[in-house]
Amino acid sequence: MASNYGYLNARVRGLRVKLLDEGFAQGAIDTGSFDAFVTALAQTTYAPDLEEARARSDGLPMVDAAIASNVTRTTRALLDFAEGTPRTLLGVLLMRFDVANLKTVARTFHARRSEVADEADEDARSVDEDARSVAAATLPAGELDAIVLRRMIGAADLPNAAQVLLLKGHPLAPDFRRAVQEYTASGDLLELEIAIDLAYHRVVRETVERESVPAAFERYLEVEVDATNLRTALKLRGLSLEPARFFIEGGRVVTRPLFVEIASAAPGAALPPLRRPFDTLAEAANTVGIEAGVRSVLERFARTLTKDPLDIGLVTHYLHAKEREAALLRLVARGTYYGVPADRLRREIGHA
Amino acid sequence: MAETIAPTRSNLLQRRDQLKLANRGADLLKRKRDALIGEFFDLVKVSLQARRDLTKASQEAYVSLVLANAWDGPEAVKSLSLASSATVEIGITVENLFGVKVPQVQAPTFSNASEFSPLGAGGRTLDAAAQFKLLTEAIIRVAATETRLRRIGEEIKKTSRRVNALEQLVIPNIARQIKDIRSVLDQRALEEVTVLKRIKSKLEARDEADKEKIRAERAASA
Repeated sequence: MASNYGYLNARVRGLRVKLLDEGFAQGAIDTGSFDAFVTALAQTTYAPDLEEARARSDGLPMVDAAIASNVTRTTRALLDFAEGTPRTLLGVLLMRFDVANLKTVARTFHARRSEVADEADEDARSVDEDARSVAAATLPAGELDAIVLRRMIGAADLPNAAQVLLLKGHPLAPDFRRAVQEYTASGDLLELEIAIDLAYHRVVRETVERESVPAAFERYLEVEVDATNLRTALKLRGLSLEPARFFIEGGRVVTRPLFVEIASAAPGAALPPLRRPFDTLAEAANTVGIEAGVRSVLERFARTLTKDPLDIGLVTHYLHAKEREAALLRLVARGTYYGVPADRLRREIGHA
Repeated sequence: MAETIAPTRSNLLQRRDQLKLANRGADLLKRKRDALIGEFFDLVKVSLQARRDLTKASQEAYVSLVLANAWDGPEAVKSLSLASSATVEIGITVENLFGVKVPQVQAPTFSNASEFSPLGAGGRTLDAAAQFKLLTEAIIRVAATETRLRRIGEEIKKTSRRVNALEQLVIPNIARQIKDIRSVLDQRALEEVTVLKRIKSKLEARDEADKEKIRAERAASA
């Protein structure tokens, strides 16, 4: 098992040095030109992705496609590097991309169903056009690759799409199929999405219990559950939804009563005092500030995991850093493309 | 082409009534126009404020969309847009303003139910969605005030045209007709007096002649 971690972590260290940092973003902001930014990006590890994206689009869509392609290529490479327990844990870390993609597939079929029921849209879009627009709403950076997602989107209906997932042998497939059966009867998308989310968190818990997971990583997952609960509680404010249904078990700081208390408060209300590591969030002025604070807490916590070379911690931290890099590049691309003032961009980078 | 009217006393009386009515109508229309102009200028202030609010809401909404695409990723933003059917309900009533039917638009109501699970939904994307709801409200406010403004503006133009038509055409026309009828009637009255005078003088001459004749006969018999 140790050798599995050793190889994976060695490759991750190699990838980590190629990450683009704030210095790159600052340089692009200083030039203030989108073309200069693209030229600079073409001299980094994004070159092949940019080249491929340039053949299909230009401007912002080109940069977005290149970033998505780079993230996908990186996570695919990580999955190829890993085997055994690290591979399983990496799959768990990347499964959130699968959850997002499964929700996108469900939303696509729900939207098609609404259109058919409505019969208002005379100019029904072609299947190809529809598939292209849905493909742009997925990021195949998890276990589900672009081919499986394309097959799911191209299926006749949602039960058939669930069948495709089952054939792939994905850990979420049985729960997804069950939820789809209920959705077919009720047509309630919200219930379907909640079932996918709860199944994901249950699968993560079960995997952690089954595999011999280092204590530090287990602690990280607890912090991640707390972060998810905190973010969800804030999003539930002002919505006519029963908060307790959205609570995820497994955290330490955000308990069920605290979750309900935060979710039931008025939108914009201050957070109640929280225990470490979320104790600094009470100072945040608004939801966006709290969201940035939660992200920062998770990143800081992930950094503490990088000390052990024979652990999944280094990969966890790298994935956070990669996500941050992608967000920074998208931000700078948009900033230079739309001519957002440099001060405003620097302030936004401060949230990174 | 001027209308030919029989110069009769009844027509004269009718035209006088018409003139009185036209003057009263013009006066009323002028007062309506003044009231509408007052309303128009009050609404202009509201409309300009609504436009300013729209510009501000639009800037904030598009900036928040840019930030949502940057932080949560364009895939997450597109995915959430698939889940939302986005219907807006607007209440419209018709208000009668000085006889002008103007729409009164109530603020739109957005459902606070969610069609998607907030678990895992990007915070920035939800913030952008909230900003776009505000933008929708601002657009509807601008549409409501500008529709009222346009309707009132059209009514002011229509009322001004009517006032002008009354003052420049109808009233002078009736006044001229009254003058014409009166002049014909006066002429006729004059002619009648002359004829009567002539008849009277002829009758008097005939009486005088008869009297002369009687006097001559009496002188001859005597």
